[in-house]
Amino acid sequence: MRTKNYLIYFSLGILLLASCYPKGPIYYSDSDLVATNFDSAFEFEAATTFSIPDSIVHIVDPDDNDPDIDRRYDQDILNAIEMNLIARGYVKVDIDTVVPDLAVKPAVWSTTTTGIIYDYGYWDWYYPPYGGYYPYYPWGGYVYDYTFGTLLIDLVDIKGISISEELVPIVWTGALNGALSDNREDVRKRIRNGIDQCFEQSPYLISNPE
Amino acid sequence: MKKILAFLALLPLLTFGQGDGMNSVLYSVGIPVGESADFIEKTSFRGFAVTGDYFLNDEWSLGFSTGVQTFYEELGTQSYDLNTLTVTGEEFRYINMIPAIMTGKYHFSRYGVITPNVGLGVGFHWVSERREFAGFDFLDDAFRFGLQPTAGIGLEISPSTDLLFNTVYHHSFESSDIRTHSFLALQLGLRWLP
Repeated sequence: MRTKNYLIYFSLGILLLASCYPKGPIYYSDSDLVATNFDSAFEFEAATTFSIPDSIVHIVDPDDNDPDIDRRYDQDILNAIEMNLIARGYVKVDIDTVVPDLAVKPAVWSTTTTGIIYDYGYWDWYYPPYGGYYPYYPWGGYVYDYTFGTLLIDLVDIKGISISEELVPIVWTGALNGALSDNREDVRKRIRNGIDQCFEQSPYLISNPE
Repeated sequence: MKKILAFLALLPLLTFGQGDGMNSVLYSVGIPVGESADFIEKTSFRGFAVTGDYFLNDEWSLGFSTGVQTFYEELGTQSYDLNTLTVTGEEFRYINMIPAIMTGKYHFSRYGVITPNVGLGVGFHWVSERREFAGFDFLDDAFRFGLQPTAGIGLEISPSTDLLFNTVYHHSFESSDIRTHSFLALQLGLRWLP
């Protein structure tokens, strides 16, 4: 009997040792995506000036009285974009007095994902990593939701706009996407890092007129 | 999935629980090789194996082997380029392999204090390759034909129980669904008479 007992304990110990779940993404910042794209025909080096608005377009449901995104980060976003463009040699101008080479057009919106996990054990790899657990339900599942925020930064080639062709040439786009959290300082830091990364991975975006 | 694994884990014990057989449970360390190592370099310390062997005679046995090995690696911040598009995010990678293998083994000395054996297994691997990038999941999984050469050595610690060390090479073949995956498992555990 003693032999059988230690074999059972040994087997259970092995299974326990082997079943540690890989950590995976646990921080909100693990969900952050930074994407950039550009018009390879546009000469970024030749551009020298840019304009930036004093507000950001919020794409929200007009009937939503409590949107997930508000305007508390708008000025941080505008400041970060402006600082990066200036650091790359572009000169800020007032679009009301000077026609710039590039115009910054930032916009934000959010999307909420809701789902149910019926099995929360080791073998289910689909933990929702970002926030929003609700209490365990007796029929064996969790309801979860998390909200992603998106910031889109477009650079428009102002001199390439053609009203007759209805053409507004966007020569560079930077996009940030990530799960929203209640930690405002963390969100602020992630936005700042994301905007910096947009420019970091766009080495062609530099003013160097001959 | 839990039920399938429980069934697979118990199968060797059910099949070879009686008569002239031996069962074993082993902790498994997996070292990825080949294309698996291209995907995940880190050694896996998450794994176990359960085997059952039925002796046809004192030298040859037939058996069944299963278990699981989970590979995991955090790659940190990664950037990928596709023409003019660049994307950056945190990346996490996983491989899970669950073998369901029929094995044939040759035992050099069945009744000695030290009992070495070599063998070859043929069967299937359920292989799952998953990449999490910036909150997005990319999953490939499939049942694949697999081979499993093995070499082991037992050390008698009681008349009915051996300390067992196995070296097993797991290889699952490529398909349209998933690449070739293979790893070397170093396993340590107990083998006992049922």
